[in-house]
Amino acid sequence: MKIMWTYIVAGLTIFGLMLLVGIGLRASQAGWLPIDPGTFYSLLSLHGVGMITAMAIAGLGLLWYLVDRDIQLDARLAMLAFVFFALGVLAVIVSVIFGHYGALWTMLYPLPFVGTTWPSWATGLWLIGVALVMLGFMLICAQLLGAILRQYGGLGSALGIDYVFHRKRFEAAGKHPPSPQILAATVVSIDGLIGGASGLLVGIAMIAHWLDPHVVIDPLWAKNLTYQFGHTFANLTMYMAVAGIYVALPICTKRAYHSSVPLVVACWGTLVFVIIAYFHHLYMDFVQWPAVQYIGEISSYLAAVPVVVVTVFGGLMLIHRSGMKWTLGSTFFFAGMVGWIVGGSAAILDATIPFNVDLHNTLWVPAHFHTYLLEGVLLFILGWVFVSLEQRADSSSNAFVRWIVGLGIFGGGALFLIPFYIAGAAGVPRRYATEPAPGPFWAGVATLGALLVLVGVLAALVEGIRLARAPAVRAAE
Amino acid sequence: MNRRNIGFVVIALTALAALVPFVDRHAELPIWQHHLLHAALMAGGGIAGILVSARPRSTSGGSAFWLLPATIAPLLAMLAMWPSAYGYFEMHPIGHAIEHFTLIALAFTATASAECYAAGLGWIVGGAMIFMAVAAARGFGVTFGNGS
Repeated sequence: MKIMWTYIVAGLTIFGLMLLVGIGLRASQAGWLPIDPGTFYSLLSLHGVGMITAMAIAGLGLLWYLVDRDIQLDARLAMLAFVFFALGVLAVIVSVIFGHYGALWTMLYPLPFVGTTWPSWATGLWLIGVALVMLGFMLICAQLLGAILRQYGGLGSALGIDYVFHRKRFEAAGKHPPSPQILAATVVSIDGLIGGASGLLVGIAMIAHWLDPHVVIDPLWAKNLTYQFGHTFANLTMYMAVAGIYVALPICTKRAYHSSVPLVVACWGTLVFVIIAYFHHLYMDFVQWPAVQYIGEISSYLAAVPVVVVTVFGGLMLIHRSGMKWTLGSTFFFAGMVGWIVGGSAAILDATIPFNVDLHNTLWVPAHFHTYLLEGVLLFILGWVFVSLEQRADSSSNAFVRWIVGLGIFGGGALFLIPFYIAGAAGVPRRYATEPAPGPFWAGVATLGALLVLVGVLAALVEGIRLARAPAVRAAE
Repeated sequence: MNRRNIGFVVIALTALAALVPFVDRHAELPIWQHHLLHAALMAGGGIAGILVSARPRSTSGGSAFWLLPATIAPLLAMLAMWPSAYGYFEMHPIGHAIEHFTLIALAFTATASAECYAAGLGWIVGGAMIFMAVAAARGFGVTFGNGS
């Protein structure tokens, strides 16, 4: 429990700070807040890497706890990984606030080194900070995977291969397939180690170039590795948080969420295709081998669609006629599934090559990942937090609080996200401090939406503190 | 011959291969070929690490802190493959051989540590490490017509 709350509280704290930065950035694009372009790109760098890291830290805390319920894990290693995360975040903040690093989270070679307006040490500190975060992430992934391998006696059993191909014999032997949350942890840990290896390699190459400019780097190679890591890391935050659905919805509905053959096979799809879906970020890199463009498109569908369909269908079947009480916790989970579908659909639309020709690097891209993170990953994490607190206090929020939080986070969220989609469809480019029309108008609307999100988040924070301070009636799940 | 002994044979053969710089003293290999040869040495060290430390899957694993060397050793191995140092090593076979032994030792440490935590994990950590070493050949210290 201590590890879970340490990670979740740290992740949500970073999220809150990055939310404020994000509101400032949108207000600046609307022309409401004067921020010079250099500072804008520094803050955009911080916002991008900070939000993903925040969701990953909170998601890992949740996933670690869910695995620890089934297989005892050593909390000291999780705390050591947390130290890596904390040092990494600190290094990144210093590089941006004091060094004004501004080559964005993608740090695409050679941008952090050529024609920069910030000192060299800021680039180095940024790279070291990101590498520390990756190390923390890989430590947790290795711990989860190792524990699962120990428990199940090998990868085949952990992935439910016997269960799928020899089901009668498997069930006759009295065996049970891995639980859905263990499947999610297996996918996250394996893909996390592969993505982390890519990230560390390109990170070391960049650090080597920073220390010794004679070390050249192939830019296309660096871009492939950066996106292989970055896309995988960002995508996996969802699967960390989704594990919460498999445990929390049964608590809310008093029904069990079982592993099934479709769920196991869908997880295999995610395991294989998440790590190669990143090619959809390189559609405009025409020197790439053309086949990988098609691999990127097909993988984007196969990584997401099966597991979303099976999980959401299973979740809805659990809720249907269950008499579930619509508390903040259960509402967050339900709304999170909606956000997952909307953000995921927008993502695979953008990953479809004929659409990508028009949408590539427009505001459509941040539209989909803001939907995915704000109205998907974040809601699953908040859902888990509130289900835990409601269980512990045997209490739930009143209708007024639910409406304030709902209007803020869901209503304000929609008002914040829709302008991204409209401006993206109109061809407004992403990552511009000064946007062409109609960008500034929609940035203004989005700023109002983001302020409403802030109100909802603050209301949820106050309510969360109230529930946490209430006397414990029973141990939380 | 049991797995442990096979592991010792593999490490002995890999160590012999690490002495190649004394045989072919002035070979001027392109950096990408250097990386691939180093990947092969690391594969030898990694496989030996797994075989030497392997235990039955049914036994419980060791301390979680075995994961620290398992995670850090591949990172150090990539640093040991610093491309601009290859020119120096081609002229100094003793240094070159020491570099090879360092890579083998780091690969051995990574997989053996992972295997000590959980049976089977060494293959995954080793696979990720070899992926890094092979992938390095495409762009770490090398460009293929995509500028610098």
